[in-house]
Amino acid sequence: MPKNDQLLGSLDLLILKTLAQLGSMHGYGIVLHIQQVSDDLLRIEEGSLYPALHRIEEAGWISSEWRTSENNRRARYYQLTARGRKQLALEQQSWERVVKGVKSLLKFA
Amino acid sequence: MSIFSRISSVFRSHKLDQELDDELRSHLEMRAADNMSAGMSAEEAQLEARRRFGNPALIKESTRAQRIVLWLETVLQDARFGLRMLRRTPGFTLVAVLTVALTIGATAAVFTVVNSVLLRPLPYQNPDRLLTIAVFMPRSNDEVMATPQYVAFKTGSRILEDAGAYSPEDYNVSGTGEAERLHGVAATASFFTTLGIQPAIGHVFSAEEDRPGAEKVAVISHSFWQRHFNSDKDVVGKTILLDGVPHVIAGVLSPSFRFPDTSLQPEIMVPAAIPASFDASQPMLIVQAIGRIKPGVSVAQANSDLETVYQQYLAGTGAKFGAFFAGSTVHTRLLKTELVGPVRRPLLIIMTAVGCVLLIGCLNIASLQLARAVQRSQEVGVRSALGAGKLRLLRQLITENLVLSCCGAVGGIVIALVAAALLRAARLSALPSVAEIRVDLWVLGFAVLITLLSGLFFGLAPALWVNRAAPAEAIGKGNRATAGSGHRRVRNLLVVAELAIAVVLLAGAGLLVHSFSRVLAVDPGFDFHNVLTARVSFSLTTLRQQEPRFALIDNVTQEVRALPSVESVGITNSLPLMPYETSLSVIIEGKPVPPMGMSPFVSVAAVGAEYFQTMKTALVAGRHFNESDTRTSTSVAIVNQAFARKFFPGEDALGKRFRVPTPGPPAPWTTIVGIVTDVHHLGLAQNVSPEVYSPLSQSRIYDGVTFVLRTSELESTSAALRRIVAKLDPAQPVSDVTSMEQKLSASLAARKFNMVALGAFALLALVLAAVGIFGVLSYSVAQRSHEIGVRMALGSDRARVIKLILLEAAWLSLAGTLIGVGAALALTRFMASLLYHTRPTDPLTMVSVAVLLIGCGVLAGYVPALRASRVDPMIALRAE
Repeated sequence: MPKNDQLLGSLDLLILKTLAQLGSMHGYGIVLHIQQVSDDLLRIEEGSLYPALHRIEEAGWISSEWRTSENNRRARYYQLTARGRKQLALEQQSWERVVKGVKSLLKFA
Repeated sequence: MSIFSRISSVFRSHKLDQELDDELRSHLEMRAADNMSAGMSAEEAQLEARRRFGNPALIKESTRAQRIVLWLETVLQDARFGLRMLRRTPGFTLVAVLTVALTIGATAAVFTVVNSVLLRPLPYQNPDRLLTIAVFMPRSNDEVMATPQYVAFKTGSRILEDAGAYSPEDYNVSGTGEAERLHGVAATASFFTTLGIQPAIGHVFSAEEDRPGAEKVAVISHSFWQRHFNSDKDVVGKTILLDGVPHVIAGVLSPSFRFPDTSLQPEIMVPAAIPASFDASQPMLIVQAIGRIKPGVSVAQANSDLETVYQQYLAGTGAKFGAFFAGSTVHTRLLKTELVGPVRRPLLIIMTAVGCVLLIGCLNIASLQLARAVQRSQEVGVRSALGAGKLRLLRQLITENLVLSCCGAVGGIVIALVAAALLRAARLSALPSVAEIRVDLWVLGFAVLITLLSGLFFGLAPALWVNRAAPAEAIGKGNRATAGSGHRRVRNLLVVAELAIAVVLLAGAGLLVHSFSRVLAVDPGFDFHNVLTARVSFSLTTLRQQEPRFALIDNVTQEVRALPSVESVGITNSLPLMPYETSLSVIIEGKPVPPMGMSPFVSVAAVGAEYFQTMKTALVAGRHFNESDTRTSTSVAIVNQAFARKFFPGEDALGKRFRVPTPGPPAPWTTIVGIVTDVHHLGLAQNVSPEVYSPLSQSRIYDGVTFVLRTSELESTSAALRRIVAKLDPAQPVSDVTSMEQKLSASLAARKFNMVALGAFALLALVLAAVGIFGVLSYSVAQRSHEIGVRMALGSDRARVIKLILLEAAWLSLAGTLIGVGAALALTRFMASLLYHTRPTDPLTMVSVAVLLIGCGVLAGYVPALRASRVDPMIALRAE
C-alpha cells in the first residue's frame, strides 16, 4: 500500500517526467531516479508503481519493450509516446498551477 | 473441459501474465544486486528487497486489474473457483440450486401467466384507448345495450374516435361439406376499424355492406377457412349458407386474430346492419359496444361525456321507453379491465402465493449461505491475512453467488417453459388468452432480475455479515468456535419464518381443497355418469314450422331408442350446467297476486320422452309426464322441491295450479302433477332456484332441443346419433356433443385450477421449509458433534441423542406453526369469495395444516438426528 498518499495524484506526472528525462527506463530505474533526484524526499512504492505503469501504457502514453540492462539483466523498458509527451505537458501545467495556488495560499498569512 | 475454462482460454493471455512475473522478478533482482554492492550478504539483500517490495501477489493483482482482458479473466477465474467450491460441497450445491430453480421456476411461471393475462396489451391498435360501453339498469341489476342506444353514443359523443358493436349469434352452416352449428357474431363495419383489425385475405365488410338490405356478406375465421375451404386462396366471392341464407365471403381473418370476448371465438362474422334511425315497430338487437376514445381522454371524462349523451337520448325517447330505462346510467370500463375482471382476484391470490414461495426460497438460500459462510470464515480470514484485498474478496463472493444463482436460474427458466407449455396444452377455459401464454423477454428479464436480487441480497448479505470480523479473530478461533449462538439464532429465526409462511400457504390451499370437496359432495340432482348429450338447433329458415320440428325430434327419438347401446332417451330444451333457457314470472292460484312486474321468476324447461328417468332425477311425489299429456289436454307441470318449498311452504304442492301473468285475458291454469328433487342447474356451487318442467308436447320449441342418452358406450353412440340425424335431415347439424361428466368438469375447471395452483405452491413451500429445517439441524449437528460426543461419552444413549435433535425440530416447527396459523387466520378472509360452504377460519383445515407441518418438520429432522446418533465419541473428542 502506498505510504506517500499525497503523491498519488502526481504519480503519473513523476513517471512521465522521469521517462522524459531518461528517455527509456525500467521500473526499478524509475524508482531510483525519483528517489535520487528528489534527494530521498520522494519514494515511489512498488505497489503503486507497477499498476500505474500498466495503466499509463494501456492509456497509450508510454510504450514498453524488453531489453538487456547495462548489467546484462533482462528488464522491461518504458519510453514516452507522442501522446505521452502531450500528456506530460498538460500534467506539468496543471501541477504548476496547483503549486502556485498552494504557495499563494501559504504566503497569504 | 468445463465450459468456463473453454471460454477463458479465449481471453487468457499467458504471455501478459508471464511478462508481469518477469518484470517484477527483474525489479527484485536489481534491488538485491544493489543491496549486495552496498555490502549486504546475499541472503540479507534478498530479504531486504522483498520487504521493500511488499506483497508481490497484491501488486500483480492490482496491475492485472489495469488490463481489461485480465480483469475479465479474473472474473472467469472467480467463476471457476466458485464452481470448484460448489463441486466440493455437492449437498449444499444441490439443495441451493434446486431451491433457486424451483422458486425462480414457480415465480417465472406465474409471472408468465400474469403477464399474458393481465399485463400484456390486448392484440389491438392502441388497446389502452378501448372501452366497453354499457347501460346499467338498477332495477334488474344488469348491464344492457341495445342498438338505438349504441347509435346514439356513436353519433352523439364528442370523445369517441370510433365505436363498434357486435352481437353473438350461432348459425347452422351448410353448403360446404357436412352441416355444422357454429358460433358467429353479427358485427358493425366499425367494429373492425375500432379495434384496427386487418384480414389475412380479402377485406372486412365496408360501411356500404353493413346497411340494412345490402347484399349478404360474411368474414370467416382462419380455422374455418382451413377446414371448409382447404386454405383456398381464391375464397373471396364464394358462397356459404348461414341458416340456409347464401352469404358471399368477403375475407378471411388472420390466424392471430383474437375476438375480445375469448369465450365466443366466432368462426363467422356477418354485418350487423344496424339502421341509422329507429321507430317503435323495429325490433331492437341487444349488442355489446366497444369504443375507442380520442387520445388524451380519460375513462372518467369518457364516462361523463357518454352519460350526457345518454340522458339527452333518453329525454328524446317516448315516455314508455323512459319509464323502462328509469334510473339507468352509463358504465364504461377499459376493455382490458372488463376482460380480465373475473380472473383478477384468483390470479392475485396465486401471485401472492408464489411471492411467498419466493420469499421462503430466499430465506432458505440466506440460511444455507449463512451456514456456509460460517464454515468458510476461517478460509476467508486466511485469504485476507495473506493479502487479498477487501474488494477482491467481495468480488469473489459476489461471483460465487451469481454462479449459484445462474445455475438455479437456468433450471428455473426450464421449469417456467415447461409450465407454460403445459398450461397452453391444458387449454383452460378458466383463463382468458390462455393460448397466448408464453415465456417472452419480459418474463426472462423478470427471472434474471429476481435471480440477481435474490443471489446478491440473500446470498451475499449473510456472507458479509459473518466475515465482518477481523481476519486474526477468524483464524484464531478456528472453525467451530466462530459458529456462535448468534448465527444459530438467526438461522432458527429464518427457518421459523419459512415455516410460518408455508403454514399460511398450506392453510389457503387446504381451504380450497376443503371447499372443493364440499362442492363435489353436492348432490347435483342427477346422475352425471354415462350420459351423452347432443344439441339439435333449429334455425328460422330451416324447419320454420313447429310440426316438422316435432316430427324430426320424434323420429330421432324412435331411432336412437332402438340403438342397442342406449338404455333410455330424454329430451330437454334446458340442460343442467348450461344457462336457463326461459324464465317466467308466475301467479299461484288462491294466493295474493303481486303487482305487475313484481311476480317472482321461475325458470322453465320443456322435457320430453324419459327425461327424468334418463337423468336419474328422482320423482319425489306425483307422476311423470305420459302419453295422456297432449297439446289439447289440461296443461300440466312437474316442479322441483325448491318451487314447492317457496310457493307452498307446509302444504302439498301436488294438484295446485299456477299461471303466467298476462296483460290481456288470463292464461289457462297449469296443474302440478309431480315433484322432482332439486337439480343444481347453474353449477354445483350455485343455489337451486324454483324450476318448472312442462311436457314437450305442450310446449313450443324455439331454438332447439338437447337429447340426453343414458349409455355406457359414449363414443360409438355419439357417432350413431350423428348418422341418424344426418339421415333424417342432411341440412340439420348436431352440436355440443359431450358427456354430462365433461360438462360437469368444465363447470368446475376454474375452481379446480385455483385449487391445483395454490396447492402446488403450498406443497412447494412445504418442501422448501422442510429443506430449511433439514439444513439448520444438519448444520447444528455438525457444529455440536463435540458436545454430542461428550454426552455420549458420559453415558447418553443413541435414543436420547435422537430425541434431543428431534425435539429441536419439533420446537422450530411448533413456533413456525403457531405464528403461521395466527397469520393465516388473519389473511384467509381475503379468499372468502373463492370458498364454498367453508369458513375462511375452518378449524379442521387449520388443525390438519398444523399437524402436517409439525409432522414434516420432525420428519425433516430425522436424518440429522440419525447422523447425530452415529457420532463416534472418540473421534469427536479427539478432533479438539
